Formats: sequence, structure tokens, C-alpha cells
Amino acid sequence: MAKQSGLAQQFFVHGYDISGDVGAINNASSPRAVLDVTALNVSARERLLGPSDGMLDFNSWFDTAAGAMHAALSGLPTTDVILLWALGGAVGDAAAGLVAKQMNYDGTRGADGSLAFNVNGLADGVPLEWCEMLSAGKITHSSASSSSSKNDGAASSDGMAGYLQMVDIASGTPTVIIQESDDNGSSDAWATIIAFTAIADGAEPTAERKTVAGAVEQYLRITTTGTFTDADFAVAYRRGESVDDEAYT
Amino acid sequence: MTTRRTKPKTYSVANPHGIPKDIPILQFGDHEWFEGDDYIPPADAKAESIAKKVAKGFLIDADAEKADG
Repeated sequence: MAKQSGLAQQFFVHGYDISGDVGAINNASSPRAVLDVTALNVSARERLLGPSDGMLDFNSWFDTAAGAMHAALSGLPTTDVILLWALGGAVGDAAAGLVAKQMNYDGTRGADGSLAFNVNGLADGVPLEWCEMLSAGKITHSSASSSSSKNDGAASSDGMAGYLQMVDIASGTPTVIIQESDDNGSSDAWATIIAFTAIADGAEPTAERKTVAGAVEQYLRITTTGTFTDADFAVAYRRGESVDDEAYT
Repeated sequence: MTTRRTKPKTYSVANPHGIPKDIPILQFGDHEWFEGDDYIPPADAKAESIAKKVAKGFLIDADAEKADG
């Protein structure tokens, strides 16, 4: 991959696609607390890592259209919101996922007449996760089907986290699942490793993060099941690593 | 000369990740298998792939279970 600009990106807030309203990502960070445990018999600082954390801070232009930023952000829910910043609209593009508490919805009217709002999301129980897109940004399944698979080059052994942003459903109740195979389904049947909760038309926009433990095969794909028409959604995932603070379960 | 046909090995589909009952655990082409279904691997399936599916809890070796009583 070559160097990339920050153009043509996508941003989701708990199922709301507000890519057309967000103008700037101010901060996507994974700060770590550091514990100073220097002993008196050493001559250099000794440190241990404390709890991990996560933050996504962004600015959005004011928009009161249905499904736009004001609807997504002005409610300031006390429950978690799931944020997903896709750094591109292709399968394999990087994405930052965060299960967050929304801290604010702060408006600013500039002297130039602009009207913008700042929102800060702080992690709740899970650090910021750098993922890869399994969907090409927001995609549409017109009925139950499978998207093209993604070849990660090798299997992994430390579980996986999956993010679903369900933006819109025309009718019915789709279930989005993630499946694995060691040979792209050539002779090794696709096996379901994550099933997101079925979502009925009217319950969207919504989002979910799910995890699975253990080995994950080389090929992954998105499949939808159920009876429905035109489900618009985005999926990202992160393969766990042996150096993670906490293994996926 | 006669060729003796080997009976294909049968597995039972299990659900190691707690997938809801109406979601297929395995898919191959247009075929879907749900928890509790019998599964006969495709003729060209690699033994290694089947062994991994058994180890990961997607398949239970039904023949071995029977032999164990």
C-alpha cells in the first residue's frame, strides 16, 4: 500500500452514516496509563503499562435531515454508542472502532457563518481498536447473500472482534454473520464464527460489536440470512494478537 | 476386478460459538447445515480442514461417538 490521503472516508455513529456531515477527525487515540515502578536499586526508570483507553473526537457540520448528524448525536445517550471511522471505502481499508460514551455535543457558530458541532467519544471497557473493513464501506445486500471474501494471507490464533453498523433496512429482518474458511470455500465449507443480532426493519439504525475466541481461518466473508430487502450496512473486524492486554472471548 | 466403495465418514454439526438456531453453522455452495445436522464432507475436502473443524468444535465425529458408546 502507498501513502494515502484522508479523502473519501466514512464515519458511522451507532448505525447512523454521518459521513456526509463529519468534516474533521480531531483525534483517534489509544492512550495508556503508565505506572512508575522504579526501584531504588536501579539507575533508570522502570514502568508498567496501566489500563488502556480510547478516544474518537470529531467535528460535524449541522444537519437536521433524517438520519443525519443531529438525529445521531443530539440525543446524548447514557448507553454506549459504537463509532466506526472507515479510512476509505474499500474492503481491507483501515478502520477505527470504538465502544464509547458520548461526552458532548458542543455547537460553534463561526464568525464566517459556519455551524459546527464537536463530539468526543471516550472508550467504555474496550480500547480503540484498529480494524480492517470487511465490507467496501457501506454496502447493500438486496436479499440474503454473501459478499466476496477477504484473504488475509494466513490464519490467526487469537480470536477476533467484529463491528456491524446497520444503517437502513427496506423491509424484513436480516442477520449479518461473519464466516471463515481455510481455502475460500473451495473444499473447506464456510463456518459461521460471529452472528450479529437479527435486526428488524424499524430497529435500525443500530450497531453491535461482537467477539470470538481462538483460531480464525485465512479467508473471511460477510453473509446475510433471513428474509429482507435492501439492508445497508458496514462491517469491520480486528484479528486478535498475542500481545493484546486481554484475549478475545 | 471389483472396487470396494468406502462408506463416507459422517459428522454431526455442532455450534461452538452459540450461533442462533436459525443461522447456518456451515455453508458450502448452496448447501447449509444447522446445529445437529449430519455433515458429509465434500469428496475433495482436505483431511486437515476437517480435522480443524473437529478441533474447533464445528464438527463432531459421529462414527467415533458411536464407537465410544
